[in-house]
Amino acid sequence: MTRAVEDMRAAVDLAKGALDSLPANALVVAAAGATPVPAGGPVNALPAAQLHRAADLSQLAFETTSDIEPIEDMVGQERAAQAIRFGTQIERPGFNLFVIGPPGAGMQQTVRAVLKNQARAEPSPTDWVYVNNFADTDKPIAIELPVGRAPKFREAVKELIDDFKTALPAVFESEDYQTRRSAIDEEFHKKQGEAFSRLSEQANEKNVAIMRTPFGFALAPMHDGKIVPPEEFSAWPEARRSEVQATMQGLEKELEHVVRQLPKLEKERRDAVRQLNRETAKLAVDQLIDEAKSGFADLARIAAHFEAVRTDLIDNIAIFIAKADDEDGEAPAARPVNLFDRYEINVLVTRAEGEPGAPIVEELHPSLGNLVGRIDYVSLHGALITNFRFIKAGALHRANGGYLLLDARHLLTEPFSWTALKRILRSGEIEIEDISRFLGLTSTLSLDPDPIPLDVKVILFGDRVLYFLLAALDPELEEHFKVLADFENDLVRSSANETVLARLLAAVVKRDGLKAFDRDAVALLLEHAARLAGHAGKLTLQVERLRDVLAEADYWAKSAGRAIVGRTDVERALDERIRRGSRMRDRSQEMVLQKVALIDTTGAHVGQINGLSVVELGGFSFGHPTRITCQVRPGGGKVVDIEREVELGGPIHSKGVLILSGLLAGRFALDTPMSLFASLVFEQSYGGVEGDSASSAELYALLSALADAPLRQDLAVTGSVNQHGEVQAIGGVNEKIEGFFDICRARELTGAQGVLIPESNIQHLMLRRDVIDACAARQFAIYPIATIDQGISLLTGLPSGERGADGGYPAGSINRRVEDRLRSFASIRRSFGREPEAARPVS
Amino acid sequence: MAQARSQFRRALLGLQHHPSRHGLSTAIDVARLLGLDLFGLFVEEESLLRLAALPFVREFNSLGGWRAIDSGQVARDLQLAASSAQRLFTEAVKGLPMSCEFGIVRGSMADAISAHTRPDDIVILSAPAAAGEYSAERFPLLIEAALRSAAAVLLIPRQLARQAGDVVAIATRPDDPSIPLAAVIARAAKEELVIVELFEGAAADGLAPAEDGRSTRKAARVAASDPAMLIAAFRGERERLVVVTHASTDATLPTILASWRRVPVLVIASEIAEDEPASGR
Repeated sequence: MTRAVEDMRAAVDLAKGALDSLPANALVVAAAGATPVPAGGPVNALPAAQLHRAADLSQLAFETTSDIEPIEDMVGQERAAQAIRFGTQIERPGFNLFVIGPPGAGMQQTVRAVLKNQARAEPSPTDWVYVNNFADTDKPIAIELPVGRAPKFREAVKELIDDFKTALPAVFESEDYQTRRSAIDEEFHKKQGEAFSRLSEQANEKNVAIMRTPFGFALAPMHDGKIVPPEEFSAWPEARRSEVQATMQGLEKELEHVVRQLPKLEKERRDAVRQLNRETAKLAVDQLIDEAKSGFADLARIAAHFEAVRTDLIDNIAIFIAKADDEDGEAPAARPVNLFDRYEINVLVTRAEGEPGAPIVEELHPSLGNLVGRIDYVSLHGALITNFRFIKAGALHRANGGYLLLDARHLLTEPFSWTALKRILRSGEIEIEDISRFLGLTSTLSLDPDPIPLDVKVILFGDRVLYFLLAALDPELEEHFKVLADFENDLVRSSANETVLARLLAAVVKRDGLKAFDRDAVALLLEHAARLAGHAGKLTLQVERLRDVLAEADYWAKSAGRAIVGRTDVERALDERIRRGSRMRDRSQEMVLQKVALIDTTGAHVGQINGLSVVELGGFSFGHPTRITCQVRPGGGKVVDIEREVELGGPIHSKGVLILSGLLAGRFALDTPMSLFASLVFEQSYGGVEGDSASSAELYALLSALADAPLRQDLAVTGSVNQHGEVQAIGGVNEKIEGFFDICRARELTGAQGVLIPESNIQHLMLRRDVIDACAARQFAIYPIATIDQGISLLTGLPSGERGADGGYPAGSINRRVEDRLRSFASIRRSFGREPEAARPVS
Repeated sequence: MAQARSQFRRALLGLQHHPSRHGLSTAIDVARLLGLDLFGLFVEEESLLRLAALPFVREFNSLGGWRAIDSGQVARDLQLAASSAQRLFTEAVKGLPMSCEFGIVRGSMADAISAHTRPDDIVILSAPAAAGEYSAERFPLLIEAALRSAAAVLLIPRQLARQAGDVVAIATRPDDPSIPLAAVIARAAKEELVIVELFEGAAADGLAPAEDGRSTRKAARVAASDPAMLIAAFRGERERLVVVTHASTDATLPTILASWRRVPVLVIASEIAEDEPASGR
């Protein structure tokens, strides 16, 4: 298979997947337009005026957008605006907002603008800090402070710590302290020394010495003040040796008693030193703490925390003073952790000066940590450690007392975030959850900080499909997001609304710092807005898509050296957008022109027709013709959808084909069993087929095959059909027409070529200028079709025929030929049923 | 490193069974300030080996109670203690610019000090942490032996009051050698020199401002023979080191000072050899 064919297949596959995204409004129109079905009379091509609706700016006098008063309010979104106002003002649990709408509708910007005005008048939320829990360091304490007081609290404590660092060494190195400390030590050593001295004197009197060994004490016999050498001792008489040994045994008990007293004495000394240290520390810190505390006398919890600091500092003063009780311990400067960190204040959330009102926080990356806060760790000597200072605020903390804006898709794709949010909304408290513990990634000790009461309005943004899916699959959605704000896709296209949209565009131009757009440029943009809406009578509200065009047109104007953006710049922007995204379209058309993909644009064939589909790739849509063929023969009354048989057809497509069976069964040869076997196929289709916009084309192919009437190949068809033969609206009508037009123009326009569209799609027409020009010059035609009879007449050049008084269709009409063929199939079938009996031998 | 040099060239640190880190640290600090080499001397008490040879001798410690000892056991214990002291010394002097050596000798500490010291040495003795050790090791006798030697002696108390502060010279006469030595240390430590005068008459020479602008001041003038008054004269001072001569007062003064002021006390000879200038650059 050639690469070209592969490309073709890829394009066609994509086309099948994108068939018919019918706008909701089109369906409404079609249903409303279900008037009595007209007969299959002649159909006239639409005049050029009906193929496009020009902008009407008569109500707005301006030369460029600089002259237009910008509009920043929500436009055409009254329903959504009311829902937002309601959702943000009602103060009941669960009344959070879920905002849905089409992409590019600027939902976030709109909601943010509404909230900005509203939040300014609301009270600022309180500050929150985490402080050390001296009784249980694993459970940091959360303290609420009036707005703006948390930084002051932190600064006060910071100053207090600085004062500690100065005052404590000073007081512990002071003359008074050193004197009292020396007295304690001297008293202790005196007691120890006296005990040893007494023992030593007692021993010396008995010619025994007390000696220090590497790990203890020993007694040794002395003579003339010196240790008796072993050989000399051995030379002593037995009696003397025994006497010395007995003396030493007696002294051993004394030595043991003295040595065993040492720990007790040491404990007494330590207790005395500890008491001295406490008194000294109290003297040093009392005034400092009282001064720091005085600034927060109105806050009981802060006062209590200062008292906790005082108690902790005094109780643990030994670790803050150099070598207080451990003479061989490390000096404070060499310690790995700053000992005063335990008194620091972790300001979790506060509002800066000049930030009045409630906070509006948008979290673009709602991971669990970013959403509910996290606990960081630092590596120390190979171990991960943490404390209250490493607690970090999440978006919920920052938005507490205000509004939190989240993208629903981002939220749902982050592990644990959605369930954590629901849990927090239900409990009404922000509890920090450590994702690494969920996953078992860390086994180190962590923290269990106090939860913080939640008072936040959560606003989720998403597309409609996501919302409806979530509503169907997660019953908790309704519990927590009770208010739905559904943004409109478009706006009714009246002159007044065109004016409003022009003002909106002027606002975007001003806000984005673009060059001014002239009147013609604005008009073209409004027409493009209608095209984006897929409806000549609507204007899209997907402002972001228009904003992109504005930016690109501004670029082209700048490139051309123009100070004002004109119509040519907007046209260039639109053309370039198409050009950039049209590689697949061009390849697809190339396949057709090179007859790799077989599409005839002249002549006529039985059971063969040009259907139309729409491909949407990365925001660019284009129409694409597809050959549909049909074969018939006698059978069991079944219309076989080959796409479905090979599992390439989607359910909607299959439904369309089954409707054909219903239409045949209800319209033709009502007194005869249906004895048809028909097969329908999308030729050269190698991917999935979905949608029913080709069902009218399939019916025409089927009728052509049954009637043996050739169908015009210079026409292409789109439209779905119901069992009564009414042709129904489809989506992407403009792209479909333009897709077939491009093929025809490339092969040269004959003047006979055109497209059959549902009559109800006329209102959607916003065709390209070149198509309109060709139609105006009668080189191409658009035919509005209301019924199958109209369509088959146009395609075959034969009358469709209506049942006469005799109950039959007129001779020569398509319907008569179809009915006759079906009767013949029934007859053939019946004859097959009788054949065995006829062949039976006569006895 | 001090640019001004004293007459001293080496600090000899007497290491015992359980040398203290802060004693070692203080010794290094003084050696650094005076630009001295450092020599750690561990003494294996020979008398212990002799004692262990007696058949009935036992050792007592508060954790293990009584146990019999023999020569081999004591020799191994002494070796362990020496290794421990050497490791401590090596770790403490790592990266220091001066020459640092460690040696082990057998004998008594007093004999070792007599045998291994030179006039340009400062013998550094740290007071044992516990009074039991103090008494059993006859620390006062050790101090006496050191003071009898030709070397100067630095006494380090069990605990230090502070690690930074003024350097105090206790002068018995205007040209007391403690003054220039204390000035050298003060300059090197970037601290103030304080002079306590134990004499009547003209003021000491060291009262002129130091070259680097650091001031020298006279703290007090007290009766030489009264240690209590001398200690009282220190009231309000925040010194890090005291320099005193042998002849200042009685022999117990350095020990009393070290104990009550909780600062190292450097005891030097009252006369300086003529060929060894007391200070200079």
